[in-house]
Amino acid sequence: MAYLEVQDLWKSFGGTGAVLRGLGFTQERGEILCLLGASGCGKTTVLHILAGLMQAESGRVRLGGRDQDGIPVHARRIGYVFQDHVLFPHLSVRRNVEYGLRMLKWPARQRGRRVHEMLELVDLAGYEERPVRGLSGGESQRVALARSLAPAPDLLLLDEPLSSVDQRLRGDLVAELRSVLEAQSITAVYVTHDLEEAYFMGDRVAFLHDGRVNRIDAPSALVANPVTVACARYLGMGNIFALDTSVGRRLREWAISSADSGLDRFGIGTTHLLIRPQTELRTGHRDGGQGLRCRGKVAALRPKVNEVQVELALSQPDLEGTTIRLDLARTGISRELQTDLEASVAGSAAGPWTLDANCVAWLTE
Amino acid sequence: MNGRLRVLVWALPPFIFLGAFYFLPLVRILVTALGPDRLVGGGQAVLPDWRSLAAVLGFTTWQALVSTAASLVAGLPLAWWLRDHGSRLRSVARLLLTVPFVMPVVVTASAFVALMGPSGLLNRWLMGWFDLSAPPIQLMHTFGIIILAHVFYNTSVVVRVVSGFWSQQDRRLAAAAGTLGATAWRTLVTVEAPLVLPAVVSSGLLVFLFCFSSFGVVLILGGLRFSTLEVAIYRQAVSYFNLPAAAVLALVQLAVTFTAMSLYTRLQRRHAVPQQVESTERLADGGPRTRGHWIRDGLGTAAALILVSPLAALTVQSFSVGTSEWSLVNYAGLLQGRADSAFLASPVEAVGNSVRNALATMVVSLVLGTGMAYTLFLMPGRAGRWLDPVFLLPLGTSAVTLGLGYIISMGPLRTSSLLVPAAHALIASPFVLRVILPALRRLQPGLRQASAVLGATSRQTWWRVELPLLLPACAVASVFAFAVSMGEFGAALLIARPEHPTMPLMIFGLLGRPGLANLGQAQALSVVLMAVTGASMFALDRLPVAIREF
Repeated sequence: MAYLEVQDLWKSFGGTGAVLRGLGFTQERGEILCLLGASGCGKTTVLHILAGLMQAESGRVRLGGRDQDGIPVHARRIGYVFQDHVLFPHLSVRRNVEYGLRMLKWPARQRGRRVHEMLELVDLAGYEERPVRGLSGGESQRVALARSLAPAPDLLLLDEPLSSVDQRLRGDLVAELRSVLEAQSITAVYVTHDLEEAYFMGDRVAFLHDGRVNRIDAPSALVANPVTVACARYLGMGNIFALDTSVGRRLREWAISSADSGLDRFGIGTTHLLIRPQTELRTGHRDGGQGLRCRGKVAALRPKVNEVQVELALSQPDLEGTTIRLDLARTGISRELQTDLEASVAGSAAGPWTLDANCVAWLTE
Repeated sequence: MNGRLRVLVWALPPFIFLGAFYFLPLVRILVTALGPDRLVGGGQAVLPDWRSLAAVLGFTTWQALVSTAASLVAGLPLAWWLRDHGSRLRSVARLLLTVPFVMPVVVTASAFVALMGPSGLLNRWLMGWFDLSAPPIQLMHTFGIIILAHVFYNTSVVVRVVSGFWSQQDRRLAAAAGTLGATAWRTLVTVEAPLVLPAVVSSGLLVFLFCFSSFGVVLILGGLRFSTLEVAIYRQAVSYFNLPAAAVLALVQLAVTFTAMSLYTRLQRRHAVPQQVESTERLADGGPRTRGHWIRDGLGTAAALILVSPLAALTVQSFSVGTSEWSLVNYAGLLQGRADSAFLASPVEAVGNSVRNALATMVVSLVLGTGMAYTLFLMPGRAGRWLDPVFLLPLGTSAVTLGLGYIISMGPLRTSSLLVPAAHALIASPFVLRVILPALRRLQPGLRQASAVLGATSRQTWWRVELPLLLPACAVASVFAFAVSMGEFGAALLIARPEHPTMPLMIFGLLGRPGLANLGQAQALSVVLMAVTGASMFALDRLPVAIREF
């Protein structure tokens, strides 16, 4: 049995449809799970329900085998790091951190030791007597973390804890946060809308869409193979074609025509075809070479910082009028390809191209 | 016109007015109290001896403290309940709770008479139910009824100030305490209460200030047995015409109220922005409605209803004569001319006087307040900051003191019927200033520049651009000034001529006369005044300009 089991949560606010529509996931002890999703998709609602700050209409939450229904917030032993921290403004750093320990009626001596230990953990030793009003965003965030970790909660919930921190500091803080959580071997649910944060924080990432967990996997697997249309869109991948259109059908035939085009992953329920933007493009059709052959004219060439965006308007008979966008790594572009691309933009000739066969992926709705 | 001259043009009218109708009377009070010419009254004036002065001061302070404590006890649970917007019941209760605060003091007084007077609603009911021969509730002219009336008034002050502040509090602070293991009760004690403490203290201070300067309630409901400083000033000035004694009392009154006022403003400034409320997503009241919610909502609504019950009783009583039948006799009586030979004017004339005064007050206070607002707006830096509290001084001066000042200082003008609107305009001008100044500060500076670039002189710009944009604020300020003048009692009582009474004075007079007919008419006239005040406040609520509360 998993440490945290969330089953079939339903929740709606007022008249505006359900925010959660049967959401569920499981989590092992010591694992950090990221809930990733667009704003308004119900990420924070999930945390509120887990903490007991809100009641789900139906569904079940079990933590360590114990049904959480009916246990009031204060008795749940759950840590919660709020968006923009929510430190108690009338208390010092020390009083903030020891607040939970006072609720557990720890004696003063032990409280002091624990506060010191926690502040050392978040690298704020010596900040004990400071008022929280003067702290910077990063410092407040670390105090909030220390405060929620001090009573050694069974589960730590973090709600976009870095959203109010300066963008430049965020990278460092993600790494720092991750190492603190690992050092405490804590089980954590981390909510974010930022793909990079999710990628570096989570042991696994659950992508939330339409009130459900749309996709849950290790971060690298999620990026490598989005599997669902919604997830691929959220990861910023274009070139998604529905298979029930004529273009889609012809694209499928074209993709299947090449041997190594991921056809093995084409299974039941597949509805869309994705051509990953980050791929390789070669010039000409070489005999015996692997890959997807196509003809087309380069409609536009847009240089970006690390890559070049190529807009390829296909012109082979059965795919005429289909445009795909590719993000080619700058360093990967050979002189030959460069020349051909530029020639294709300038002239009207539709050159022969070969796309890497791995760029095709199959998606489900 | 250069900048300095413009400030002068705007500043001149308020300064002349304040000088003549505020500072001059105050200085004359000072001179009368302390100066050599104490024998103004013609004969040997009897100054209050220390003993009786201490007794009056002691009682004033004591009743203010008790009233403040009682208002806090009544108001804090309601504020706690109203801190979250939410159910429909709560918004109804919130609306009910604003009503007492805006009611004129004579309306409150006659409402309490209507509820618990010897022939009041409660006594009528109780005598009917239990077949009693004498009214069982004998609260008139007791300490209790003074405190009750003060609680009626000031509970809404406590509720508004505290719940307004409380609702700004980030609900996630309580949620954070909850996740850290604090029960609802401990969260209230360790997190929520400490954070609203500044609001509790400042509302308490405000209530103390109001109760310390309480005049109408003590005079009408307390009878001859009780005397606050205000009532003592009035009695010395009007009953004994002992102006030096009245002046000494007024000086004490001024000293105490200014101290409390400055404490209050200092507190306000220090706690102006205590918590960050930037979070876009407040914690929704997500839990299902339990039985606790219903009980709380029920109790809260009941409390709000009890609080406004005197006003309901007043309305009921105004429509009944003697026994419990419904009739319009009281209202018809108002139209029949003088009820009693003791009055020099009829109720209809009183209504006319009040409306005339209120309209004059509206005009004068609008000119004054706008002048003050522009002076503060154009005055650079330090001088402006120093002037702001000067313009607010009339707020901290009791109406009775002001009236006394006019009696002493106005010489031949004392009999002028313009004196009442002048006093009312002075009392209303800080409110007008507080409405117009924010509106003025919100005007985009680019508008003036754009108008100037298009060839308009500064006067044309004011007429064609600024004034139209300030009109909504002016409308709000006018309604406010109108309502203040309609309900004002203390100053009018000292300076209005007996042949030109205002509505509150007429009500006061009718309440003081024996006989149920007089009482009935007093209550009918009170209902009219209540309706006018209620309608103005309702209009204010609809106008799209924020009013800064005090």
